[in-house]
Amino acid sequence: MSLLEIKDLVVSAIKNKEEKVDILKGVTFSLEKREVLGIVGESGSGKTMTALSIMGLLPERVYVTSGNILFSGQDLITAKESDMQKIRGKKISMIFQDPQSSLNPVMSVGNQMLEMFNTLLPDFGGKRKKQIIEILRKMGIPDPERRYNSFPHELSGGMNQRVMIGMMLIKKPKILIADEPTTALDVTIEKRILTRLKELVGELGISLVLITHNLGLVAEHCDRVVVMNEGQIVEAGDVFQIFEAPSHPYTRKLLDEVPKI
Amino acid sequence: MRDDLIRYAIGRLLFLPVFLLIVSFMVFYIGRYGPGDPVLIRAGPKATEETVEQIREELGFDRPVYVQYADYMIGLVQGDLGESINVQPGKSVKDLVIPRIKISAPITLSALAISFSIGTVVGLIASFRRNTWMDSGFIGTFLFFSSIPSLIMVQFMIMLLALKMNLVPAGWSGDWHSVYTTNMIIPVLTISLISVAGVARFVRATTLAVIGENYVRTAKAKGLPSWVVATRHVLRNALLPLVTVVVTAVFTAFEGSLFVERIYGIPGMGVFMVDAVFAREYDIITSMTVIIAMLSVVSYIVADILYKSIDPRVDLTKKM
Ligand SMILES: Nc1ncnc2c1ncn2[C@@H]1O[C@H](COP(=O)(O)OP(=O)(O)OP(=O)(O)O)[C@@H](O)[C@H]1O
Ligand SMILES: [Mg+2]
Repeated sequence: MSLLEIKDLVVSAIKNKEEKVDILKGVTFSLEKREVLGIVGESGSGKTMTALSIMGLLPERVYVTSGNILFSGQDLITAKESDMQKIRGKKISMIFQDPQSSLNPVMSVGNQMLEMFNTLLPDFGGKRKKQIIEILRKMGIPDPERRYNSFPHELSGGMNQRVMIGMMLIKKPKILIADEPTTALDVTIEKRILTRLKELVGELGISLVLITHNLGLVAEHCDRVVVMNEGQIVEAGDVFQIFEAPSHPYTRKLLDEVPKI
Repeated sequence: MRDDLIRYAIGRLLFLPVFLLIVSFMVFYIGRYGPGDPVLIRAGPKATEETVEQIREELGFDRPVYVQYADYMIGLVQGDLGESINVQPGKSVKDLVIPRIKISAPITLSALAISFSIGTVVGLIASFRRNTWMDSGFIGTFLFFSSIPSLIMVQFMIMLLALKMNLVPAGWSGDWHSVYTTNMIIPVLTISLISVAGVARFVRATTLAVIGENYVRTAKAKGLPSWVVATRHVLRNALLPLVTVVVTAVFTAFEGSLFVERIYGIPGMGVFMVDAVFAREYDIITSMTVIIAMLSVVSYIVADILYKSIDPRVDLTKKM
């Protein structure tokens, strides 16, 4: 049994009383333990909606119409909200595209990370704080003791994304979904952050879903890849194999757009 | 407190005297050159030209306006608000106004406290249960109340609470010593009921905007219970702009209570100001304008500082 199995997932958006559009039209793929899976596709192909379906965090007026999302055998689509709260952040975590707006502007990053412990008990002896500072250091944030009290607007986009990654790994989840984690950042920072992320994920034995529209990143970091187009998976398989012999014309088109190194 | 906040406050407060000088000058001149003459009102319709001139001289209104203005300002900086011409001739404005503030301030502030508490709760319920019967039901009910003119509402209250149920007096009795009695119920209830809808709709709108923010999605992705997401992440950001609105509301409520005062027979500020304008009470009009201007500037500074001390993003040193 795979760690995560998505079967025939159909997600629809309600436009008005009568009209409904399908955003995902039967998506099927699976994720294994310790695997790094890439999801690629153009803007609007449904990568983020797939991820949000897994988290149970689809936006308003967007619903799962049919299909299954099985996590260790448990169907997340029919799971109660209270059960999902036990899964989010603890078993399955997600980080988002725009780190600046994804952190609460009026809370210090330390306090936002402390929330991951989700407990009303006081932090005896500052144990949790120490743990968080250690994570910040591991994420490559200089002067983490001071950064603990900083607010998101005082940090760069790259720093905030490191905070996000560190935060979402505190509970050592089984799966981390990274939705274009470095799209908003420049290339050198992108490289450093992804390398660090891969190291940590490997260390902790976490399965990583890396969503991107950059095939170069997929080639460098992923074991397997699924290619999405207009709400459907057009191709899936081993990264090496797909780069060597893309079978679907859409994949070939994506590959042609990659600048040759 | 943050350094930049203190610097900001000082900067603004230094500007206050200049502002008040301009305001007082304008009101003073508009009064003197505008239509109406308090001396004629005081002298009465049958007075001879001679008597009128005599009274004008006695009151010092025959002097050039800039001299009168200087005279008035010298008094004002020493805390002398001038004196009444017609309402209670010769009585100092200060003695006239203080008992009225002691009535109007508690009424207005209680009404605001009530309308903001209820309005916030209603707005939050409406936004968290958006597009359900709770949303339209609550908002609709209070919109109905706010659409009733205050002079109808206060009469309805008198009919219901005083005449029918006999819970409160049908009209105000006594002076400011009797504010904290059942006297207060009808005016406070009327003013607050009318303003709940405004607050509720404001809170609903800001809350809905915050609910759609990315950081709220992050909070959910962390697995936080819904009530933690709602209070710690949504509420705090949604209620930030309310701080500024409260201040504006104080002054509009002060003005809006005029009909309530008139009909319920409350010797408050609203009625006092209107009477003063009709009687061309130069000193009362100018002094009240200056005081209100000063209070509003000071409260805007306070609101700004409050807002900015809650929101770490705002750096006041850069902005000015
Ligand atoms: N809140 C929403 N309501 C209705 N439709 C939506 C909503 N958000 C996105 N969509 C639609 O769903 C489709 C898939 O969007 P999605 O965000 O998953 O794309 P994506 O592959 O993540 O693209 P990008 O690379 O730009 O992030 C798009 O056609 C989009 O218009
Ligand atoms: Mg996306």
